[in-house]
Amino acid sequence: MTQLRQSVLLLAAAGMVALAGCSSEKDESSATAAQVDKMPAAGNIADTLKSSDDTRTIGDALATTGLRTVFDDKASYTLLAPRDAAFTALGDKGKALTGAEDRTAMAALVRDHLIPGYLTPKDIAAAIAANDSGTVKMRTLGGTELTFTKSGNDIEVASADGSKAVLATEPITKGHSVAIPVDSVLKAL
Amino acid sequence: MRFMMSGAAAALALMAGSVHAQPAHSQGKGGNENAADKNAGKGNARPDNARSDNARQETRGNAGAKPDKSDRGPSANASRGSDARANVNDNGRNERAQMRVPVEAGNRNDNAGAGRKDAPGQAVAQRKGPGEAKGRGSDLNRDRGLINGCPPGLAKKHNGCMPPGLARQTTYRWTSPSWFGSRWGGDYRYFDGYMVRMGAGDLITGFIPLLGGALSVGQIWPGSYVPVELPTYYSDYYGLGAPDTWRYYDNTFYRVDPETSAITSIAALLTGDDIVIGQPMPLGYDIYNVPAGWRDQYYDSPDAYYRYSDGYIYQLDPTTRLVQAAIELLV
Repeated sequence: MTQLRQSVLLLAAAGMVALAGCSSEKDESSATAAQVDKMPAAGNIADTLKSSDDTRTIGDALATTGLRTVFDDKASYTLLAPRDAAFTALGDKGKALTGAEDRTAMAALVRDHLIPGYLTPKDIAAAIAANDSGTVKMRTLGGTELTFTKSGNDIEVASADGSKAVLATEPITKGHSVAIPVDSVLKAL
Repeated sequence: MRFMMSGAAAALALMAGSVHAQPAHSQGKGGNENAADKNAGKGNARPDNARSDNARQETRGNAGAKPDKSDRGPSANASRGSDARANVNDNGRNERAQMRVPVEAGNRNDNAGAGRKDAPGQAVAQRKGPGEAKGRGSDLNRDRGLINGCPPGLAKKHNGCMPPGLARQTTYRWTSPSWFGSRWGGDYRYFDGYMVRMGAGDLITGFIPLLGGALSVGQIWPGSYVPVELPTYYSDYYGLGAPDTWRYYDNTFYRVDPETSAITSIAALLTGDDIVIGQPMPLGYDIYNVPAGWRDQYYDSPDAYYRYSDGYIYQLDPTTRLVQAAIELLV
């Protein structure tokens, strides 16, 4: 299996080299290079988050709400994953939320941090750069709107209720999904 | 993988074979729609070097959009595998599975369940396939539906379904209905895994089970349910299995034990977005979000943009943002 995956990657790389050498497709090939990522390793990204020292809280939330399993199959999601420190910063309210036996509220919170498809910070930055307004929007699985902007070298995201966060530059990829750590919770408590 | 036709051909196909996921009524319509679907033009093609010209011409000829990657080396073949197929059809609706949605437990309308003896009741939620009107703006926003009556078990615990203090419950922001979306009116309250509608005298008159609460793993599916038809594609894409082993509600697929109706896992979350071929892509898809395994084939170019939603990749006109094709992603 590993050999097969490596072969796939090598072949993909060969294809991209061939593209880069074709001057008539210069624009296309550069777009492709920006958008084509290596295939993530197999697995469930919720497990990766839960085993991390930095994102354990949201990993736990995915497990306890039952949402972990949506990452099992081929559907693709992007989770803006608040770091543990983001929940800690919420104080007693944050503790009450994360520790509540009733997981309904946390499920809604997770849904408002989930975006359909596979987004990387690179994709977001490219979209911002291509947009004259300097802002781009995506809808979450919770139906809320997230607005992305650049602030210096950072990518910032704001939710409709005014909550803001800065995205990590390196996403975590696993299976068919992506998690981008963020430094704040995107839902006002 | 399966392409939906773009342009005029797709529009005709849509008209010929629209799916109606309104649970009760769809039972009676299913036969006609299936027939229409079967006539609604489908073909097969390989997305790689070996794909048939028919499919490519239908999807690309009209759209004129997707870059031809047949000369791009072996990357597409390698990542897709030799069995990858692209099918052109009306809307992917030639095959169907059934979705189940709650019905009003205490106020059933037997007429609404005509055609299925095991599924009486009034439909309160609906789900439609790609290319059809569905989505986030209606009373049934995000496919939620109100179930009349008192949440299961609550009437016994609280005499007459009047939990004390519920009407003024605002302990935390997440106990407010607004935490769960913006559509709730002032007569709604959150209570114990449900959104409940309050009537006169703080009496609960209806309820909506919520993900993570009443609809969480281990819970028995509340109320009765009517299957709703949808493309088999959803079942295939989300790996749902036999129709009696899963249910759909509030844009969420749940796996259930067919014997006990207990929820065993959450299979998938959907946007429920209203994405129609020939219509503009809904707001909120500004960023390229095609899954990693498909990026070598479907990447933004001056000729076409691609966006993923609910198991489909949609091809868009970069200028007008009109949806030109919907591509199924089965390998």
